[in-house]
Amino acid sequence: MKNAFATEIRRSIRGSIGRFVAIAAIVALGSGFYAGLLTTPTDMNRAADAYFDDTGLMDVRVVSPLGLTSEDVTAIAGVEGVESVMPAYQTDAMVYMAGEEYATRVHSLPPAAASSDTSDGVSSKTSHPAYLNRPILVEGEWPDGTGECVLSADLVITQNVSIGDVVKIEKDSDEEATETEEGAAEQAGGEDLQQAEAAADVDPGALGEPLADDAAGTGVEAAANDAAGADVAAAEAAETDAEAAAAEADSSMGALDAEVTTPTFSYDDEADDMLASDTYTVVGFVSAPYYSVSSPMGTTALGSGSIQQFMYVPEADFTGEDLPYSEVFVTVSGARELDASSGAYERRVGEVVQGIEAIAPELAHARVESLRGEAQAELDDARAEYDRQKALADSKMQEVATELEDADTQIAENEQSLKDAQEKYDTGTKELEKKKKESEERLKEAEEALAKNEKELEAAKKQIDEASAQLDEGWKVYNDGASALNDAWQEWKSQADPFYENLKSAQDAVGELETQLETAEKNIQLYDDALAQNPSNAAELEAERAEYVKVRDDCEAALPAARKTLSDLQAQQGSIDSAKADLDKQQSDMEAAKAKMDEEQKKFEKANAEYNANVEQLAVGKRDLAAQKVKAETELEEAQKALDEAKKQIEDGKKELESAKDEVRTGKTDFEESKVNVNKQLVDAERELASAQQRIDDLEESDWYVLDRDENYGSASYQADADRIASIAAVFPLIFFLVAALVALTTMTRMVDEERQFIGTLKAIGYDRRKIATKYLVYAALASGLGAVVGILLLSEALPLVIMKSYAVMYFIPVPFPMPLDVPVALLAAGLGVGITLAATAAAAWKVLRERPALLMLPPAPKAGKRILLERTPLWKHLSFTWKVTLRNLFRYKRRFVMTVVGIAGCTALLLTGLGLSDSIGDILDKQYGEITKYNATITLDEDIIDTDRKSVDAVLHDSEMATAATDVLIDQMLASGPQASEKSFELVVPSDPTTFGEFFTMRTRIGHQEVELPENGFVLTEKIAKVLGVGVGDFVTLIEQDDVGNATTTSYSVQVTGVVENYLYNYGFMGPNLYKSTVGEAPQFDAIFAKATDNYDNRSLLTERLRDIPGVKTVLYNDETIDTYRTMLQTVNKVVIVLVLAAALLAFVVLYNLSNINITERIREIATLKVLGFTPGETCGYIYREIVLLAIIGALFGLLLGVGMESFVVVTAEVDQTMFGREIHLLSFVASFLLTLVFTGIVLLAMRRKISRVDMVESLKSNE
Amino acid sequence: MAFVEFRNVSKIYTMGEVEVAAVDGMSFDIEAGELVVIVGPSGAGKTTLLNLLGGMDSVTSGVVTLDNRPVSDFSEVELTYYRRYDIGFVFQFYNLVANLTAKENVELAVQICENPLDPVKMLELVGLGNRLDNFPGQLSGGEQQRVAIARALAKNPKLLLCDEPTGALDYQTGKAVLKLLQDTCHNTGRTVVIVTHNTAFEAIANRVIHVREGRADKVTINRRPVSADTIDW
Repeated sequence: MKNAFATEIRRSIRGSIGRFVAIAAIVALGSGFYAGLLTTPTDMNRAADAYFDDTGLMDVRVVSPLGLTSEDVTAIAGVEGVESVMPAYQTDAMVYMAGEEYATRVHSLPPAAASSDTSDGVSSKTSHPAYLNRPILVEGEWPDGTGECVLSADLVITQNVSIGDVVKIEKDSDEEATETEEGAAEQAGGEDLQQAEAAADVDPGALGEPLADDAAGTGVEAAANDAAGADVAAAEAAETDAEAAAAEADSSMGALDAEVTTPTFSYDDEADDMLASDTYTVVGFVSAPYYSVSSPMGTTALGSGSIQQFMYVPEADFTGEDLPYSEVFVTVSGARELDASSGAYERRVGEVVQGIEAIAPELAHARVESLRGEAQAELDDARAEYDRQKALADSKMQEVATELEDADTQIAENEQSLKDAQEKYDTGTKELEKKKKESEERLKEAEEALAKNEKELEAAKKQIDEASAQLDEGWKVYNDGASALNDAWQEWKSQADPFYENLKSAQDAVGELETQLETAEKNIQLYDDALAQNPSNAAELEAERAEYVKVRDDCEAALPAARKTLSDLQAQQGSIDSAKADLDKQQSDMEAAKAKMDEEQKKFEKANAEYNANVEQLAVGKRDLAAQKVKAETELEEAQKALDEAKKQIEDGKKELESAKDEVRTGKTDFEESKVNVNKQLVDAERELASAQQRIDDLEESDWYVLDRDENYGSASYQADADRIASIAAVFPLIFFLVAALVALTTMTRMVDEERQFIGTLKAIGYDRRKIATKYLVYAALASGLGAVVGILLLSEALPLVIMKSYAVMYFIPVPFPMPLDVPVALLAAGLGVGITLAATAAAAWKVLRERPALLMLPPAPKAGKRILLERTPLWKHLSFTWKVTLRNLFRYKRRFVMTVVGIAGCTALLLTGLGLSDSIGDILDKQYGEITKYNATITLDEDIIDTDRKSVDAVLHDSEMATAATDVLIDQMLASGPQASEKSFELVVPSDPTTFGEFFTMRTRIGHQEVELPENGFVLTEKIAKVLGVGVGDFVTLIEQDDVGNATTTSYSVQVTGVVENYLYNYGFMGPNLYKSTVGEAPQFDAIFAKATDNYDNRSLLTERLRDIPGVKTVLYNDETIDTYRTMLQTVNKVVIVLVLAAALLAFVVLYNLSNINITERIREIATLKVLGFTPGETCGYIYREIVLLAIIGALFGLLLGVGMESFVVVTAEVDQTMFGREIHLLSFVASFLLTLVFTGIVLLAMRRKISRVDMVESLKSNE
Repeated sequence: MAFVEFRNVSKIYTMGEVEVAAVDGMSFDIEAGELVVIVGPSGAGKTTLLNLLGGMDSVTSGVVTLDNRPVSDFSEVELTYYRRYDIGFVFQFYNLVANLTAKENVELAVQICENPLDPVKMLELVGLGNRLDNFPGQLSGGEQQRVAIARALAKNPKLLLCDEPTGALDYQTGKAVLKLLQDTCHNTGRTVVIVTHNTAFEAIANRVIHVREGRADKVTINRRPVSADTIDW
């Protein structure tokens, strides 16, 4: 029988695997989340405890502002319960690494480190029991010589540093500035003195020379030169004197300033004095248990007030003179075995703390006494030095006064010599005038003589011209006569020549005829003789004789005519010859006239030559005169020029003398000022000495600080974060358990209802109720048990892992895996999950089991349809009947309604919590750095920065390429107490100009964004600290000054809050300058600057460089580093958001799957009937789904409400004191949560669609069973 | 051609390795306006026949036609619309939606039809004019079945299929419902098919189809059907 029963159970599981899985899944979620969240803090604490134990983190740390001596260390070691002690050194320094400056705490690393074994990366094993706070070497080597160091392996800023890099310890800017000032002053003083002396030497010579020259100067040039020379010398002399005097005054002032640096008494713990080197080579990177959190790492007086980096250097590098230990680390015996988060640990350590505190006062007193002795001696020296300085200052001032007087005398002398020069110039001018006049007269005379000569020459010229004209006339007459004679001759000749020709030819003709006659007669004779002798040839001879006789006859005939012509001609010859004679006479007359003319001509030419010679002579005379004139003029001009120059020089000299006088005057003023200054400094020094004395006298108050791990930021805040998760763990799983109960209830009710007949049959057979109930209880127990086991196993590993990995962004505590199962928690979670399910199952089964078997055999009375409230509204009529069914169904199955609404609400709430959390943290960045903090750089300055450096800073910040705006502020770290909390740290900001401060920090209320004013007498707190303190506008808060370690001092002020403003990161108190003055009692020292620096990266690094080059600038910090820190935090949150979204999705799936599963199985007949009626698959699904979707929407809306509550719970729980998360969930997150829920719903419904379509219509023909 | 024709219709279910022929070569005709009673013992294939005729299942082989339309060739979608517009179904267990009133149950069917009849009139016709706003839980079995008939009729179907309409009812009520169906057939001329194992119903039918072992064993035409009032079982 038992077997059959078990088989039945097995089969019913197999037959309803969906239902089984649904129960298992929801229980898995509930128990798993519960166990996971519950074990997370335990796991975190356990991980931290293991890590701290394995690295020997101290249990107690003892510090004293005055340092600890080896006697102190021995005394501490002797306290009961102390296991081991490790004295150590530390110092804070600004360290320059990877191009940036970081406030770094430098720790000493004991030699034992080199032999420790840290190879597993999570622990450090050592054989030296007194080696504590053992860092784990992650990369590189241990430092083993001077100038080597290791840095944090975990910090983001270390990422830019590599092994082998050299980091530089910045000298403390205070000291640096002082030294520079001294040097500069000395140098300046020296130069000035030299100049003055040189000037004095040159003086007399310069004045004497020109006066000697003056005597020799008789000419124009000489006079001018003299005047000029005198002037120049005078002017130069005057100038030099004045400069010398002024310089002297300056130098004296500088010297005084420099020399009266007051000796002050202080316990010297500056890094550069304590450390052997100021440059360190990075040889490795370590994880230090002492620094297990990235921020905050501790407070410091440097930089922005927070430690940003740590550094370990060999212990031997702390080489300061008589250097006391900075701190002593202590472990408590038996504490290692205890869990550090447990009360037992606290008690154990507490005892030892008390033990150390008990011996502290005595040791502290001894320390003070010895220190006071030393200090007093030092102070006495200082006072002696002060007296010496004072005397020195007095004598120096006397000296300067004398020098100024000398300068006055010299100026007077120079004035006199300038006057002399002026006189000489005047004389020279007069002389020049005279010379000018003389020269002009002489020139005039010469000119007159020349003019007379010229006139005479002009008359002579006239005569010559006349003579010339006469001569010309004479020549003309002569020439006319000669020409007429010539004509006459020509005429005669034209008559005579043919005549003589005719005569000759006539003579010739006569002669020829006579000759021919004679010849003929001779020839006749001859022929007569021949004829006679030779009568034979008588005939021929006779003929020839006849010819000749004829010639003779012709000739005798022609001869008379010829003779007549000849005689005619001979008759005419007489008149011709007489004409010729006449002409010959005329010719001789003409020749006589010519001779006379020639004589005249010669006479004229001689006169002319004489005249020309005279003209030439005049021209020469004129030229000479001109030359003389030019020469005279040039000479005069030169003289004038020389005089003019002299005049100018005199004027320059006068001017220079004036300016020299001015300088001397300024020098005198400066001297007066510096005298005041020096006196003030002396007074200050006096006061400082007095206050140093006071401090020495007050030394007694100083005490030890005995700090346990709660004062270690990493350890304490890790523990605090673990606690936070614990409180979240208490809330979240509630939803899952609630939903698990509802799911179990509805599912099991359905199951029992389905098996009504089976139950009736069993009853009828004779099974008792308990036995029958067992089936359902076993079923539920199996389902929930399986779910619980799977859920707890998975989630109690996964959740702590995810959360710790997320925290690993900030905490450098190793995450162990797998984590040990926390059995009590697991049992509790499983018990809760299974118990709730069983209770629900019992409740579901009970109702049916009570009924009589007979009734059970019948189909259950169907749940009667009921009218719902909505039907009584007019709206009802307008609804389609499908909506009516839907609405009636919603209210008909209340359990399902509640289950679905709660489940879906949980899903939406989880989504909203996750997204809202992301919004809240994202807002910190967006709002703080987008809307509220408008400046992006903070520059801190030395309190005693000198004026010129201060001006340089302003000049750099006024460069629009570098920064757009800047304002002076006072920043001070303080503590505040109010009715609800005390000694909360905040940053006091006193703006120099409250009216424009809104430009740098938006003062507004968070709700409504009302502008909040900061009056001169106002005090405005940021929201978070106001809330923590429990104060509002009009309430009073107590402000407490803190010491370097961050502990409260006895100085406190009560201030009324005039406003509360929105702010997310850090706590600020803004105070009007007047209020500061009236509260603190002294005017605010604006030693910091808020600036809006350029976003251009290159310009920004240039800006940093330029600012850092100015002495007196302490630090230049940008907000970017903070922004980066929160970016990483946002990543952490986003991981958690993913977990939440997954959980939400699971929740939605389980609930909706279950709901639709029940709805479908329960209404199979209805669905089949609808199909038979001709409903399409879509219409059928719509009919069923409308209800589910409506439930999902209602659930999601409730979920939004629930989510708002949950989100604000988580936000407030997760917040730390220094941060306020955003309080707004963005609209987008609401929409996204809502839509995501609907998407989950949609996915489930899509999956169930197949189930509906598979419903067989034949079901409709069956009976209800 | 007859209003409804079954020609050599077979329906074979495969259950693992075994093939079971629920209907095996069934053939018969039904004329329009007839009141048809299909009788047979359990497992004879009555329900399968009804499923095939009502478009809730498809044939393995053979032809089913209604008003000259080949129902046996219809696709899944066509079958849906066939059920919607052509068939009115009356179930043994009424299958009313518990959460809807009588009137709303009728409207449920009416809202998806093309030419529906007035729901209120239909309910009045079945004698429930005064129970319009009652939920099924508030009605007796006979009344519920009448609502179911009204719902089927309101769709104005070509064929009214009734699966053991009196099966869950007592004698008197069963008779009244039977009478209603008979009257509906006579008064509206609608074709009504009643599937039953009760041979007593044969008397009221125009046509009786005897089913046995998946076949139409015998079809008898009743020339003189008697009133439902008069029969006994």
